[in-house]
Amino acid sequence: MVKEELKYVALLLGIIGALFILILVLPMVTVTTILGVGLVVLLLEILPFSYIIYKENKGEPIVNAIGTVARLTLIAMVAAGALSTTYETTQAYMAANLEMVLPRVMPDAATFTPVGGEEEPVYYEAYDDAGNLVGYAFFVSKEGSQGTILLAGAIDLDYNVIAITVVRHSETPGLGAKIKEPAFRDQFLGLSVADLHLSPEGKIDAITGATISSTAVVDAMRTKIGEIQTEVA
Amino acid sequence: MTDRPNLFSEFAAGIIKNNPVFCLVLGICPTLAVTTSFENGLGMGLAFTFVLLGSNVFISLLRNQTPPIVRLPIFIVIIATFVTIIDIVLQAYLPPLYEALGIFVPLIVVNCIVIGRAEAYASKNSVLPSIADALGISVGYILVLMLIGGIRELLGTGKITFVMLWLLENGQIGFLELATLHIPIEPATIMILPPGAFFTIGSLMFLFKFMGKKMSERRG
Repeated sequence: MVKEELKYVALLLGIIGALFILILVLPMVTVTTILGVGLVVLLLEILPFSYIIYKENKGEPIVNAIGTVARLTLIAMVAAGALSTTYETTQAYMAANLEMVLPRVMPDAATFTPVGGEEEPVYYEAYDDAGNLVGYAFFVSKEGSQGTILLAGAIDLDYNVIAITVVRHSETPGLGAKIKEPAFRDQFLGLSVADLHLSPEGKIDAITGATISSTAVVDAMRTKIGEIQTEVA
Repeated sequence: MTDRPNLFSEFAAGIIKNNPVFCLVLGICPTLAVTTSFENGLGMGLAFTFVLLGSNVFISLLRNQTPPIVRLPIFIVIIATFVTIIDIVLQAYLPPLYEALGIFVPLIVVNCIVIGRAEAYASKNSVLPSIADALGISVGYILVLMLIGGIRELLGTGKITFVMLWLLENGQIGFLELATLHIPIEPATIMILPPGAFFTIGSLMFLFKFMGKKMSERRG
């Protein structure tokens, strides 16, 4: 009986230890931290878990149990290392890809000046070749039905929508994913904040079977344009 | 040489005998969810092919280092890592392809065909047969997804647009529209909504099994 209980105590200790370490290092995930944490976890876990596996399979030498735990931890460490390396090396490309969206929503503008915001600009002032302010471009994200929808949009100096495009989303293909299609996006063109509601309240018709996705896009645009209006004024 | 598995027969088995949807009845969740059109079926199938190929290769390479007692956690770590890496890499280096396939990639995490093949095939065979198996299963899956997607699109919207992944005129990779076929019927919207997926898959599965039975009776 005592040995049986000991098994669960060991398991619990192992899990608490792993969680504790995970929470401590999560904000600074680099390859070095992952390898370091992996090693610590390996050292902490190897005895309790090996003991459990050893007890479960009577007759097998304990060396095999230790090998099992070591292999699982090593594979997890390699996977974590591969993930963080991929993430780090692609960050620059991701940011560059995002900036390349701006000229697409505002082909008339030549330069974009970020305004406000600590980490991300609230909006971009768009200037034409002659250096005149022609409008504002912005990114806005909001939770849709399956995940975050990232939109890029542009408004003219009267705050009417002149472009909207979906940069990233994970809505259901065939339903929510229709927010990408011109049939839905073109409804926004020329509208001001007051009209940016779903009909009958406003002028946007929701996509059949995808009310949540449609609402998210309309709400995101309305909130962001309202924000820009107050910011500019 | 005789005991080496025939690569082509492994490949062909994935299409008919081990057809993931109709015979193994695996991966039904994403199949129901994304088959609203021909294009979506093709997109999901292609994204799936990348992941299955990668996971089969790695699981097959590591098969002698995988202790049986912890094989499931190891498979899941490998598959989840692969899905996430493909998601990030597509997003960073191939944004046009990501725009076309991106929404399907995270869905593959819930696709049990991948772990099914890892357990049933890749963990027991060497790398080359595992690649053949992955390709066969993927082709079988793509064909089924395009068939179901096509039927639902046709009945649900009254038209079907055939597409293929190709180099577009602007030099980017994306879906190229080949042809659009219209049928003169009143579209039944229910076919692109979730119930339509159940109707279509159920009927097709019945047909597939029925034909298979008839053919084996004739042969035997």
